Amino acid sequence: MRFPLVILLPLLFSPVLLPAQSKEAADPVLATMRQEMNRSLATLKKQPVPPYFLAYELTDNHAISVRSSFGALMGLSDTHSRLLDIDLRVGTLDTDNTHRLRGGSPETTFGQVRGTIPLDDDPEALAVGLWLETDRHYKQAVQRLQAVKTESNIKTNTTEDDKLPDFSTAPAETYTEPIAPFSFDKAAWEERVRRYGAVFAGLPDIQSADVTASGEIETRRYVNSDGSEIRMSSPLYRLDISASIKAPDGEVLPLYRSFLAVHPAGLPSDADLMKAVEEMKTTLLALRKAPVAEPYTGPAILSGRASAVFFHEIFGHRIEGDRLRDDDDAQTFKKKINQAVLPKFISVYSDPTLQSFDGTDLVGYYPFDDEGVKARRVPVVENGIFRNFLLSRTPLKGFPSSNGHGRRQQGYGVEARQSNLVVESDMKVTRAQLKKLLIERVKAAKKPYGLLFDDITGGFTFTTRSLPNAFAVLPTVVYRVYPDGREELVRGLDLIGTPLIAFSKISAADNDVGVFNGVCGAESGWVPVSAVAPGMLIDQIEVQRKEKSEAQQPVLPPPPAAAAN
Amino acid sequence: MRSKRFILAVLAASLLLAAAAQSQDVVTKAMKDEMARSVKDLRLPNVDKPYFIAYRVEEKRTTSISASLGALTGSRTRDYRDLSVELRVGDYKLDNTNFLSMPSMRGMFSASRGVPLDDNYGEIRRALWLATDQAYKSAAKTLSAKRGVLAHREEASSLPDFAPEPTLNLDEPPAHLVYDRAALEKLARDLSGVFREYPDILSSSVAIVVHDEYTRYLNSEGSWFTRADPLVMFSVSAETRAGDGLPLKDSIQLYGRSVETLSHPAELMARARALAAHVEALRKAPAIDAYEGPVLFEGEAAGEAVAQVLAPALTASRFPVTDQPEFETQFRQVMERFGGNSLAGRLGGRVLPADFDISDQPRTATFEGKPLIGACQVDDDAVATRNLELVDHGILKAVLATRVPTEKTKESTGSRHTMGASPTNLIITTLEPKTADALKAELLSLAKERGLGYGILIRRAGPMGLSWATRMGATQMGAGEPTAAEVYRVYPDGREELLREVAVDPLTPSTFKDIVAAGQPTVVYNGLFIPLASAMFGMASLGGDSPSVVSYVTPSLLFDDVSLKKSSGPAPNGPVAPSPLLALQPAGAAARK
Repeated sequence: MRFPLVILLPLLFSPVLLPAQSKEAADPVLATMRQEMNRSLATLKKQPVPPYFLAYELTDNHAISVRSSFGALMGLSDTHSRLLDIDLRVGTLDTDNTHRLRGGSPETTFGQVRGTIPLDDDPEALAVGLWLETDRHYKQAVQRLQAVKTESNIKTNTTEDDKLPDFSTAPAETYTEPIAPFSFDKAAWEERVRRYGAVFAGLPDIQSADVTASGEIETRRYVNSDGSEIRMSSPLYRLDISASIKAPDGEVLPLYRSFLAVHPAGLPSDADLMKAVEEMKTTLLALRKAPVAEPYTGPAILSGRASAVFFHEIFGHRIEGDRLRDDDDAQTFKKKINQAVLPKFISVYSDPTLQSFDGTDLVGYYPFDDEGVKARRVPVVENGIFRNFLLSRTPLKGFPSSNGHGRRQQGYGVEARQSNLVVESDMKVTRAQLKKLLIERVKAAKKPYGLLFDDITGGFTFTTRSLPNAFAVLPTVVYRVYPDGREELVRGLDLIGTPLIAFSKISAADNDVGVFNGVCGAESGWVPVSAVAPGMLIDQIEVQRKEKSEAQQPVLPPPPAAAAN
Repeated sequence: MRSKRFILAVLAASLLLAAAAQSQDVVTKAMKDEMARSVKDLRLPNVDKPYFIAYRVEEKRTTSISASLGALTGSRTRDYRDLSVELRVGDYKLDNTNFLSMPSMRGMFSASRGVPLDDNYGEIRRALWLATDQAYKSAAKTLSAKRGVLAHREEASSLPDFAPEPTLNLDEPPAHLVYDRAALEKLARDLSGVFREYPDILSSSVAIVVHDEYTRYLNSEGSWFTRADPLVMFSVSAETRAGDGLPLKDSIQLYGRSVETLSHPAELMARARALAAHVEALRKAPAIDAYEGPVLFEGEAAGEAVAQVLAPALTASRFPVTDQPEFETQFRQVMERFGGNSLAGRLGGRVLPADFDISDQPRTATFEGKPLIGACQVDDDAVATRNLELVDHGILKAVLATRVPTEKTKESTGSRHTMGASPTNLIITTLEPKTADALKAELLSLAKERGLGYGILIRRAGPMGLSWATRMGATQMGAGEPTAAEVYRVYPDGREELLREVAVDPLTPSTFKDIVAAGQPTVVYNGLFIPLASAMFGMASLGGDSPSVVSYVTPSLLFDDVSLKKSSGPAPNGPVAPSPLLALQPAGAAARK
């Protein structure tokens, strides 16, 4: 099943916020990686089909988490892992083993049996792990290159994309971050997840109330045969709260809040978190009583945070370069270089070097991507005109080299992905003015009301040709805005549409810029991303009824003790 | 190594303390209160109501540690509580179980979910409430689907679906395994470090799992039990290639009920070292040719044969009614062909030579001073366990059964463990055990009768590969064709020659009728119980988790006619570059081997 479905979840991930680069003693693990790479290459280079590129990425992760349900502790976990990703290429830059085969299923190394990589920094044990995994990848690569050559021999029609090189050169980079300090007070967080979750316990028709606190430290080491040696280390502390309530008609209404920080003390204070929990409780109770929205087309405002998700989904996934080499991809912008795709007042750039925006951490931050390419700001749309795709080391026509967006989740192959997507507007009206504009549009179109999307949990979009290129954004908090200015909370709808029409209907933006931090899943796995955008007025959107949840009323009422808890 | 011993102790919880805790136990109270409410009030109009409900809350703490070449490769501790609900609607004669809808897989009636680790009465009741509700709705739908299928069947089985049992009350204190994770990590590192001295071994690993489990069980018939099921596992595995590139692997697994299992590092070290040496020896051993003739399963190998081939057939299982009769027929044919059926059909008939007895002994704690791992007072259905004679003078007298009646078993033998019927401590004895030398002599004389220049002796076969089920299982798991780990040619002068890549043609339960002789040594082999394939369909529905570990006690067994051949497993090329251990180690270390 081939399903380039891309999903955004409202989970927050953290960037590295340790700009200081100290020159400390050489990392012994990096040294072992380098030494073993050279040793393996010395033999492999003498083979009839020698590797021309080899990269090791070793990711250490120590994660601790505590989870409560309705304030009762459900689970504790404390895990160490170390995962090795290997990129090994045989052939040439022009045609190598990674060349896309027509009609082949997407290839991923995920799910394959992986060799054992020790957690300890023991040079001998590490070297053996690297040696065996390199050997396995080498044999696979040689086999794959044979298949690539066979296909090119029997193929009669060659497309432009077939002539593109499979890989581009990139400068060797050296970068070392200190191993970040990490501490997670398990006992303190156990107490807090119990206390926050308990707030929801007694609500009528409450369906779930999960609070998870976690801390992790991730250290990545990257070595390649170009000479690059990189070590990045980033901690992350996060708190995720999700709760859902059931409306009288059986619809289950979810709400999510997430907080992240790179220092244990960086999360909101206990009092502020408690306040956020109380707010969620109030919103849930209001949603439960809110009327069900009807299918509707007409003007709508997306809050900054909602716009951010909207752009990530319907715009961002179409600027990810690798997907444009796929014949099945819709390739929305492929022929749009230097053409207008957005209103003139809007510019979009992708900037993985941004660590924060207006005091909020951006989780799409990284100094180097997963191919060892230095991160940089990429202008994507300038005053409405399309300029650039996001690129990994896989070139596109007219875009011969990487711009530092090759990313992956451990275990997947690298592809061009978003980092921090920033949408900027020259037009900066106030939120009140934006609402005024909305009401004008409502009146002009003779609609009974407009819509205001205030909070969005995420969304998904299809980018293949075989499916309609629709998107859906899943809002959790939506208001009807009546011509008299009154706002009414409604429930039960999804925002849907098709990309090019939606972009063309953006008619105004405000100065209330929102930030969305999350993890995004696509071909190269789940990666942390951020999107930043102002609130926007869209002249015409469409909403449909949300898929009805199947939750049935339990036969018996809640046990008295659970209800009173 | 001797200096690296560490302290591992088991806290003996006093009965007094346990009794005191029992009266105030929040989990117990929540289970009892929600059970009472469900029994009294849980019903929907015009829908069958529950006639049996069972709650099982399992409290678990699992520490898993692995290491390779002296370095840790994994370390993890998990704490959790699992709830599973078995709920039956209808009545003992006809209920929602013993049924499987193939397309929807309806019939898997266990509802399970996490339960708070906190002794939070209200939240534990919430989990029980929701799981019971889900189980009830699912059971009601399943029964209705089952009735629909039965209405279109001529031969409606007259077998009841479930057998009533007297109530039982039993409180066992938790085991509370006490151990130091850091010390276990060090142990795993030390043991795996042995393999550094063997650079020709491509990969190796040591795993330690300490699993502490405490079950609380309550059913609507009024039975209640608590039971401690601690399990400690230690395993070592190694893989290499023969000179001709064929993969060679071997592993050992040791199981115990207490951390004492790990308290003799020197012994474990010796096992790891022996395994390494054995794998090295295999590299140089000749490959076997095809062989058909007498084979002596000595010691552990006899235990492995019993575990994989005979033990599953000593249990009763019931194949569910399905909505695809063709599938049922096909499945039965395949089982018949591959000897995957229960021996229950031969009750009263001969299944072993006349000088053999077999019994299952959950109430026996030791055999000749060695601890038996399967000892327990109560089974997973709250039925009291009992020592039971299964085979008397070669005649099958009984098979192990659960509360699910089968053609040949009307009531439980107290043998439900995880998914279905399972032995606990399966003990095979022979009236006239021969000495090890006498067995070997008989092997040689049988070989000579056949005109063979040697006989075959198997000391360890490995946990997979002796039955069709385990052979196919191993292949499906991607492990390749299983080969027997320790196989020797025995020449007339008594000389033994190690062979590699020996695939044993699967044995069937009827093979055991033709045992020619048995004798020393008799060993206690602890291994996983592998249920009958037909029992697997019941598994998911019964919510079993980890398979049970059984002590198999058996004398060495001499079979007259077993076929062996060279493994046909895939043989990929060895690594292109030499091992870094050869490059990194000082010349002396590399030369040592």
